[in-house]
Amino acid sequence: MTAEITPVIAGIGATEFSTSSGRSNMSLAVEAISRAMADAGLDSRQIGGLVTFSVDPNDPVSTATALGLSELTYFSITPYGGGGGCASVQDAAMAVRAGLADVVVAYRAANLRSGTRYGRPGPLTTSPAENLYLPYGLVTPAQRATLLTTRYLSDFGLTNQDLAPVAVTQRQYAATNPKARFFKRPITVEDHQNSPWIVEPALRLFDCCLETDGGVAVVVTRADLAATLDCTPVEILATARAMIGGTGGILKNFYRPRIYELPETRAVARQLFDASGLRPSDIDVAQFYDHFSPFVLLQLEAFGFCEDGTSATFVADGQTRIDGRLPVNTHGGHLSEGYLHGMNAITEAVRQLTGNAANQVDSARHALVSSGPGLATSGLILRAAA
Amino acid sequence: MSAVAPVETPETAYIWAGYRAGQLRLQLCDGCGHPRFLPAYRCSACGSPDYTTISSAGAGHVYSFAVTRRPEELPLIHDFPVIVLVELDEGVRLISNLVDVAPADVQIGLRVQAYFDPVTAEATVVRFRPVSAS
Repeated sequence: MTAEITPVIAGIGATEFSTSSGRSNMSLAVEAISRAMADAGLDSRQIGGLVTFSVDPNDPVSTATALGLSELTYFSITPYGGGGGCASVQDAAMAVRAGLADVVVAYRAANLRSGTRYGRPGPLTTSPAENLYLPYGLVTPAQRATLLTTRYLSDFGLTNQDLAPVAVTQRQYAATNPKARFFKRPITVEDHQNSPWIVEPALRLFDCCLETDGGVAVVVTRADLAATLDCTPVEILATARAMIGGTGGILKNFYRPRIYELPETRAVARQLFDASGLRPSDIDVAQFYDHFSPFVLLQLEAFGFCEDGTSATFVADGQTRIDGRLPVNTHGGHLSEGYLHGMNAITEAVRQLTGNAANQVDSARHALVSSGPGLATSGLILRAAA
Repeated sequence: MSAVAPVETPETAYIWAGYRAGQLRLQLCDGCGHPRFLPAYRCSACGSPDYTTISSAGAGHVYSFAVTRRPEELPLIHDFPVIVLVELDEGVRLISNLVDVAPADVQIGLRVQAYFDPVTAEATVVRFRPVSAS
């Protein structure tokens, strides 16, 4: 029997995050992938596989052509947009573990502000559930997120003001992260409460992620190959994805006993902790997918860091700050660094475990990363090299 | 702003036909009696493929809601700013609009009643009004 292959993340790369890149989607992808390969100590021509996730304009075939690659032995597009970010790394890790390719790059790049804006209404669709929503004007992610959040806040006696500590904490991280869109621009609770409503009574402007132009890439390879390279690898300790029926689509889980319980995220959490043998208390830093601030609270609960209904107090008490029990979204998150559909959360986890983060958590050994909650979703636990 | 007309599909045609006929139709599982609003071919509770289509009484309460403020050019938000998730007394939920109420007065638990609104010559939607306390 041959020794089992251990997949690792050997390199990460990103472009500048901006509101107007002035460049094509593809050039962003090529830059991010090339930077990630260089970070791994590899030449771009050594790429054997490419994985992106849905709603990325750069499919593997055109990306391979743009990179000048001649032969790929693995490629895929994981589904469900922001729910598929960690699944793209899972796909890459599965391909490496199965021996289908030695170097697989997971990537995402798009002009999400100057090009097609992800937070705007999507095209009309004929999915069975969707056409029951569109005639009522339910067309944006922020509206759908509000339906979940309004009920959550009400059930636990909270208001939009209880979301402010999430936004303020993450903006503080961004203020000291030179890569962040909001570098050197912290906010106060008053700033949050004075920001305009997007959808009442749940989401103000500062509760919403930043439409962002940019690209991010992650290189997955064999641990034994990485050991020969000039890089600091991070072990992919556990990967998971989960979907649960009975929903009306992405962020349209209106039919559950409690619509905000995020059962997909709870299923991802169970898989990750079972596979890794870890418990929430073993996690040193978490990067939660924050398309909207209340989902940081919901994920703190779904992953078992807080009892249901107590996460707002956890954040308000400073427990997600750098010196708290669980530093969360230490790059500023999608609210304040930039919104690259969860890929920049993965790269921040890698930076934390290699000691390269702008807001470094002391002795971070285990990092949790989640993908978009409220839809079919995925997650990772990464471990620093021993 | 004009309404977005429904796009009927094979799965939802009976719902839209119901609205035109002044009925709010639900599927009731023949195997276990579990009701559902989203069309399905099998029951999520017992797996039975058999069901009966019934008409709801249209009475329920606000389970959750969202009042759209931005972006301002979204379809319908001027006419019907309150999107509501109604829980019908039969035990199912559906997305609709709540009218005849100021957005600031919408609350979870508010009792509501369905009515049918012909938005085009071909299409009718269901909307809800608060049930007056008097």
